[in-house]
Amino acid sequence: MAGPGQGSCWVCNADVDAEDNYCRDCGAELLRRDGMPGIRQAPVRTDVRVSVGVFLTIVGAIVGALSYFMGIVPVLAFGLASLLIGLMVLYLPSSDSVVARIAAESSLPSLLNIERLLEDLDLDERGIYIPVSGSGVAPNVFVPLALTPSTRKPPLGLNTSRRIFVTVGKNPEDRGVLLDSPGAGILSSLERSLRLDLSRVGLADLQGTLDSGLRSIGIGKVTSVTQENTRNEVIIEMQLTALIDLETKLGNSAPRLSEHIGTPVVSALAGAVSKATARYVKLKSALLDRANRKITVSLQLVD
Amino acid sequence: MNNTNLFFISYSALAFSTVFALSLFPSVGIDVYLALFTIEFFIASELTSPFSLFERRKRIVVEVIMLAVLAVIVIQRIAQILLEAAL
Repeated sequence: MAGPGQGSCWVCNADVDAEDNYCRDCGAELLRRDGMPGIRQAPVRTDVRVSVGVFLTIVGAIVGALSYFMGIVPVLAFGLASLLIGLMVLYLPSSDSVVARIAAESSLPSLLNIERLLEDLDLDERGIYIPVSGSGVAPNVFVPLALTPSTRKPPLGLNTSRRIFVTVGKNPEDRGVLLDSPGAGILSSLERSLRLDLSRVGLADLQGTLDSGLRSIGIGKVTSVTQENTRNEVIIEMQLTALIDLETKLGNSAPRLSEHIGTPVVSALAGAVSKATARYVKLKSALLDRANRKITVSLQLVD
Repeated sequence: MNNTNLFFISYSALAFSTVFALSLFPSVGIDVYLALFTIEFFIASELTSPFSLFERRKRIVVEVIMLAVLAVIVIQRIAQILLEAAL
């Protein structure tokens, strides 16, 4: 991470100057401690939590013990409540574990590699999620070189293909890149936790299913799934409880991936819609409201 | 505000308002307070969910303890009623 003086890039570890906002080598946006209130305030918040917890525990124990011997039940209950809340404040964590954070960070380089691949091949078309069925199976994403009748709806058999560069028609421009979707892991975990295949769930039941699935794997909750029939569009709103840092970093340092294919959570939602509707799906837009931990995803159903 | 902080605030509000409300009834025993604290824990927990996987794992320990306390109180009360009926 780039410090206040000379530092290094958090992505490629190249040296950066104090006044640089972007890495001169990899182009990633530099995350500075003074610009990240979350990092600077974390120890302060932890200190406050510990102080509140210790205070409530001590007050609760003293008041509870004294009132127990004096036989005053309401005051004893007050002491017990304070003791209970104090112990919970001290015991229950308020953030993701270090292991979870490291796991999320570990997936970052592979996603940045996809970003570089898209950049080098100059692929400007949006990725198309190919519908698939089967529990724990996630749709692949086909990023066409150019939009042609053949590449608009790539063959369903591409979901079983292990190739990266594929040709889907007779013309030279009917080519593209086939990728495992960034949200494949999330989608598979979601289906495993629910023990169901999303291709058997209709769009009408998708909100409830996605909500309970994402809650059970601890990623967030889905607040709404609406279908705009006139525009063949599905809009999903969800609130994140995890992966917010990864989503933000990818949004900043992998704009092509975020806009054309989607970040892991967005990609999982696109894959879920593709499975539930059995239709080709394209990402239209994804807006991350970091302050409210909210993501609004707009998906286009391809006819 | 994250969900854990929201949980603490809602649970504290519920628990302390219970203490205030029940203090108006002098004959209420401490087991009633404890049983209500337990139920309120589960209510606050559900209302402010979801939590991350790590948070939920730690929460399960508290939930088991709370459930055990509630079970002991309920069993004690049932035993008391049965004994009184037998006498």
